[in-house]
Amino acid sequence: MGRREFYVAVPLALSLGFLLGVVIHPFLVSTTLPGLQTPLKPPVEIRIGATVSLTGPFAGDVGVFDKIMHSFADLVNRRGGIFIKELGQRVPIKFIIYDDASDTVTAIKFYEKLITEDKVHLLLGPFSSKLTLAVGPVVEKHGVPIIWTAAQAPAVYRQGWKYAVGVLDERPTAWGEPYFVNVLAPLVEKGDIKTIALIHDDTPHSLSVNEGAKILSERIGLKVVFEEKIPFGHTDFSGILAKLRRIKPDIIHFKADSPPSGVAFVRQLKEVNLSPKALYFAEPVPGVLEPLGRDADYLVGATYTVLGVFQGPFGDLSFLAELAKTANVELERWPWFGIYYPAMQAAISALEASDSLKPDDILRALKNLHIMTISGPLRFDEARGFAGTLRPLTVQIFNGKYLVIAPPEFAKASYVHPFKPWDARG
Amino acid sequence: MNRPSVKCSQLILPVILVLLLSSIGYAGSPYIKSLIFVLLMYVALAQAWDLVGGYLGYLNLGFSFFIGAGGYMFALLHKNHLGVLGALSLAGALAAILAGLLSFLLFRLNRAYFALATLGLVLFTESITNNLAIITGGQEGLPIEPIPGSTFYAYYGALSLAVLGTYVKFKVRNSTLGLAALSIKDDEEAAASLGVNPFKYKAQLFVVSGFFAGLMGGLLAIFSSYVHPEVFFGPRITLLPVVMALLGGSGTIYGPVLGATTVILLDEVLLNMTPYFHLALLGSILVVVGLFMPKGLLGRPGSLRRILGIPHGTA
Amino acid sequence: MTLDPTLILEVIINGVLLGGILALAAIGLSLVLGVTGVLNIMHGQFLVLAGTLSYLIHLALKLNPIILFIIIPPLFFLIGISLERSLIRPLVSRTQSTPLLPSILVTFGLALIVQDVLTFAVGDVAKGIPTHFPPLKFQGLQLPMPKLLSLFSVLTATLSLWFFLVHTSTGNAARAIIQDREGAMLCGIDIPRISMLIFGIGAALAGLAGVYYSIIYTVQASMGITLTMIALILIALGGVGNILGTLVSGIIVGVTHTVVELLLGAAWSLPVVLLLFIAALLARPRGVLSE
Repeated sequence: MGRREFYVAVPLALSLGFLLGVVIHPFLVSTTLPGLQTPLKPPVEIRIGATVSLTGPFAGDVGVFDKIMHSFADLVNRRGGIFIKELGQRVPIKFIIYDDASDTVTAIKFYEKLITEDKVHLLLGPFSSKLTLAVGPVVEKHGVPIIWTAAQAPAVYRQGWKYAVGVLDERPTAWGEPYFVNVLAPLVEKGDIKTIALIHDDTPHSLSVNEGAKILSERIGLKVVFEEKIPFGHTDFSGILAKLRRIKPDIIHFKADSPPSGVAFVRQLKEVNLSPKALYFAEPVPGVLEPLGRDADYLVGATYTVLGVFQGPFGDLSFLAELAKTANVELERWPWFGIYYPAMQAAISALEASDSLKPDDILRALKNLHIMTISGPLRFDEARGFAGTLRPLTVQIFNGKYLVIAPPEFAKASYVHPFKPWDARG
Repeated sequence: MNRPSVKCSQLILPVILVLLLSSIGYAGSPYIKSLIFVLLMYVALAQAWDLVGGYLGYLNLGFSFFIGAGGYMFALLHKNHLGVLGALSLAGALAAILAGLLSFLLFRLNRAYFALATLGLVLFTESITNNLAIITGGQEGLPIEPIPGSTFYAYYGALSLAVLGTYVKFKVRNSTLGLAALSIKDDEEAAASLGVNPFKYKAQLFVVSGFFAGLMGGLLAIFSSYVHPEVFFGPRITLLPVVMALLGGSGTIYGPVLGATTVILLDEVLLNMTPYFHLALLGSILVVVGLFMPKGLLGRPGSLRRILGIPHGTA
Repeated sequence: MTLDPTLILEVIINGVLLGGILALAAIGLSLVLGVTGVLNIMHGQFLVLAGTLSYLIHLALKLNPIILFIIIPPLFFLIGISLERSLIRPLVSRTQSTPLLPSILVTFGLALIVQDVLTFAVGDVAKGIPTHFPPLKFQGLQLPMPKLLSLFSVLTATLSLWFFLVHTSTGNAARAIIQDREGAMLCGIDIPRISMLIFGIGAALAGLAGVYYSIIYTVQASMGITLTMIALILIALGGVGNILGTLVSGIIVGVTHTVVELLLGAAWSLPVVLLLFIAALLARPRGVLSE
């Protein structure tokens, strides 16, 4: 066969293949055309789908959440499952979870699978704005309701997706507001503090929190005397610290998603003996506190995961203790448990409130939801693109423990000010 | 010049394969289509990489530079209301032009420094992409407006590039360009002294390689409806095509296909079973292949090639 | 803000300290690559493994971190030797003149395996050891002790290696191998034995760097391959097998990083370093600081 025949063969094969596909596709597992809903037959179970980053860079953030979800389903089913109005009976729930390997393409692929092959009734979102933005169009295309668990970038809530709601309060000021308004503002009024330095790393969450810090600083009258963005994972702060030592800001506001950055910054702060009046370390996750040891004392930050402050359905401490035991996970060591679990609480509540298991009914129930969760009251705000209302609590660290200091109505301890200077510590 | 023609019998298997993949593009479930898209994407990328890595022996460790350039170009053009095909073509063209310009700089280096320089280049580019967030969206990425028929474009685009890439490998192999490349790979100084102009041939292959990568980048952007520095310049997309080509048999025609298929399908099977030990399994395969089949699975005439019906001399 | 000289001096000193740690992480690989021709991508993984072991030992026994410096490097010397004997030697003997490409496959595969095992064992999270070394106060500057110690270590290591390479017969043999492998073989030099020794030394140096990393920074399972790449950059600048060159390029990179951070901001440290790296490669296509 010569070259000419070769050039003919391939396009012919492509077109024949396409026609073949057209002919046989009704007989195969086919795509669900948008809008066409699967015929209702009594389901054996309620299927909730999600991808969790069990491997890859995000595994450190959410790596055990599959176990938590499966255990949660276990415990809920032991208590009888969820009552579905249309069926007039209680139905067990089941989580179908895949590992997205912290990769966007893998996540897209598995959400396709969850929707079209596993035929889930409801979805939970993946971890991070990056994966969320990649998965959103897919879910929207198929019309299955999804609850975003961990998407902070405002862009997520401006896409106009109709089938998605998110649990977080995505507003930039949500993170630091209690600290600035309840703790710092009185100090500014007294004239005790005047200036603030802002350092953040290059992630959507950090960008947002930093924006919020600027807005809040202006609101309470703090002057921003330094601002710098560091690359994700940056660990040498010599230049920045040299500048800060000349400027001597009253407050240092540091937000980094990368634990190595956070550890390096605090250690190097100590090395140059720079002691501000307060060090706001926005994300004081256990992964940062452990290497720092007592050097982390006096740090102020915020976290979603403080158990026992709020409850909501399946949110009481004894249930959570049982969950922790069944899943073999120390819940409080996982900072994002405080946003994932409310999403699960919302899922259950929406299913119970929904007339049926049809997507539009579940979606309507979600959008009208008004519940209490372990991280506070939750509802989805249409005006903000159905973003949620969960905000972290402001905490101060002592001896590796989180002490809630703001908002005042939930404070269990008072704020200790100022930051104890490095050379005054043992 | 001996140009062996293609025997009919050798085409049967590939044609059937293309037929099958083509029908999946219409009839398959979205999940299967996504999976096969990823597979086809990596076949195309591995083949494109191998044009330079396998035929010339120059390891481009920053291959995703072109993928990302294509992806971001597409996203930016599409955002400015250019049609899909137009944006895609320009994305590929930009990548090709960049490849052409870079070849003047990069091919002054010896093989080791070429590898390191390309690595440095992609790390630099990822960093700059993050910093110029105003244009590129930085770490928040650039969402792409929904394109009707995006799966169609992405899937058939990837299939075409995979087929085309393999075909280009075949054609180049049996051409003057291929012969020159082989002689450069064997002994560059000797080739030069015999009158072969190394730069001309290196640049040509580099540009074709970059063009394919740029197009594929645009298709990936269409598939994901989203561009992000880590997806387009990150270690996964930079190193996987390299590993796949080396695993399957760098410098052969079908080697990268086998390498890509092995890695993707194995990974998929594993991901459905357990989240752990994927890397370890891939690593073990690499160790075994490296120790016992250092030229890759299809690298040397032997049992594997016989089983697959690939005669010695054509692949 | 005006740039006063003490500010710049401070930053430069910190750059030197940073460079010292980076160089310490790299010199082992430089030596191994030069003598054996094997590109050990596992090198960064050795460092991470050492750091993780340090963390675990410290967690379990709460000893003075100084103990770690005594037990980890010799341990890794042994690990390096056994790795060489079991996997690298058969590889080199199979491929004779060009062990580079297959060695990349094999060591990359090994690096992935170790990364996965570490992830399974302790998770892919940052692990570090809290320490309390009092800083060194000098001329109004306050210098961190761990980084000073690591600079001291890398200088000592460089000096010892220089002495070893120049003034011992084994070292001379190693240098001969770096310069002309075939010639060395013809002279009857026992290449396998020396390769094994060098591999062990390289691993020990990586182990030492790993202990420092767990004290100064943190280590994480997925860091290994990145660290190897950083080492490769330093080696490319300094010349393969050129220990002093690696040290010097480490310091240059470190100082550039900190000075750029001071002048342009942290977001530009890495791009500028990389740009200079590429420019340096282009300016001297055969080797930047070669002997």
